[in-house]
Amino acid sequence: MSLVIENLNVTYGSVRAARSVSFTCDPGQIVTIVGPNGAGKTSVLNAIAGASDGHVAAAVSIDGEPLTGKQPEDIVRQGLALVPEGRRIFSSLSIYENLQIGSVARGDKRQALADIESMFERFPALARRRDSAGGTLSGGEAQQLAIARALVSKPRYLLLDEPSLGLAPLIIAQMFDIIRSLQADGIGIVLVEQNAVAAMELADKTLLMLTGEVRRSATSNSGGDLIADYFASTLVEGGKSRK
Amino acid sequence: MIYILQSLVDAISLGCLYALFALSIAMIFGVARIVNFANGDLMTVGGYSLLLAGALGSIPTLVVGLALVVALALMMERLAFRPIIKAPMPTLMVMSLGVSLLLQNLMLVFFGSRPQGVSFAQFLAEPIVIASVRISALNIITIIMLGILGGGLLYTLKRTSVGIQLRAAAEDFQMARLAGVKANRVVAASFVISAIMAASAGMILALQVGTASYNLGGRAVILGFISTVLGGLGSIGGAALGGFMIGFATVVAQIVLPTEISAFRDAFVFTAVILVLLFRPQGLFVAFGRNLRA
Repeated sequence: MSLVIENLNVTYGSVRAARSVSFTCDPGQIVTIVGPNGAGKTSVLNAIAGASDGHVAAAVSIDGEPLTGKQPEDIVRQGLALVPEGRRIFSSLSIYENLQIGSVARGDKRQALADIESMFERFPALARRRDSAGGTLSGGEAQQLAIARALVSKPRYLLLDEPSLGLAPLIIAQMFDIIRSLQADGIGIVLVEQNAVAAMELADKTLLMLTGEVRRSATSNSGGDLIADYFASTLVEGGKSRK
Repeated sequence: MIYILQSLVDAISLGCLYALFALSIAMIFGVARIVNFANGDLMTVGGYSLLLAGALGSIPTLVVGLALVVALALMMERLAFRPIIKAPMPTLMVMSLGVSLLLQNLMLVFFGSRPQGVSFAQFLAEPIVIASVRISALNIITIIMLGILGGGLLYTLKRTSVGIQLRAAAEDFQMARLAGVKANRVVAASFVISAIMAASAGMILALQVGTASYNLGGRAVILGFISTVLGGLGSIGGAALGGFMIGFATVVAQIVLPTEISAFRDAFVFTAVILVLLFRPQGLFVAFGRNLRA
């Protein structure tokens, strides 16, 4: 029972954004992908969720069921949700409506409504604003809403792309607490983070991606070398601008 | 005073008709980013459907006509657009032109090039006289129609699950899919709503001129686009308001301009539209921060 990614390749025209990426994520496990800008981390997450703009070749399965080639709306129904980079809140929809969209994938409508309410208990900042437009939220609130919207679909696996991007340090700490609590719920989490050191502390397993490839992987207690490599890589590649 | 009241009703009613054109165009564009020229032909089919009135009677004709146009729109979506929905926007637009020409020529084959007289509910042609103000019944019906359809649309978009999905898809189509919204289903829903608007608009058009012809909706579809752009691409309410303004301004121009040049009223109205777009290319009522799907 796990999320299995085997030999994932993403190409945009002649550019190979990800090459032979393979890893697994078990329920309740946090797998962190770190690496400099342009290493292909977001490409990998989008490809798994079925939202890649490029050409994807891979064998992805979730608890034994294949996901490869499926549409994003079907993948979320199989229990895998993506919280994308930039959060992508529906700014003209209310907070509540954003969560309703998250529940569209659910077959059990009544339980889904109860789950929306439970999100307001989990994220009290959202409860106070439930009828405000999504576009009026602060960065931290928007990130909470993006996570809540994904959680309402009742995922077994969650892909988080840069959840701390653009947030104040105190809010980032809160965000990591939330991620820990999701892990405690038994959700398998694949986390892409700029905040590499903090993310590695959280992780059961860390992958270092460089120019589209997984260059190193480490478990939580052998991360020292990886961190050293990570910083070396950012020194070499950090000058490249993000596309 | 009486003249002003009559003209006001004329202006509001033409505004409502243009708002229907605009809603029909904006609904599909907003969700699927398809510039659908074939919408004009949906209006034409709506107009022709009134020919059934002799055989079926009034109310059944309206129901059958509406069903016919909706079915045609769904077929269009399924057979012409769904297979190429990921194609670039110009490709989708050319496809819609192709579908439009095909439908026009099919109607030429069936009905010929001569306009067919529609005789439907004769009372609509008679004016209603209230305190010596003579108002065309059709104008009143047009205003009521926009009220009902606009209210229904608003309710659907705000209160129903499919409506909320339509709004989410209009804002960020891919994110909506990632959250579980079924792409084919929302696009089809936008075609159904658009078809209801088009069928109603087509029937009103045919009743206004008293005939249905194969190019009945040709001008309407252009007006719909202009209204949508004027209101702001991606804003459904903006499109309706844009249409209303153009229709209203057309009647006002007709009245205000000296008789010698009032025949050229459209030139004045669209000069104003061009000026507005030069200063507000994003449209008048576009919501802040809305971005178009690439």
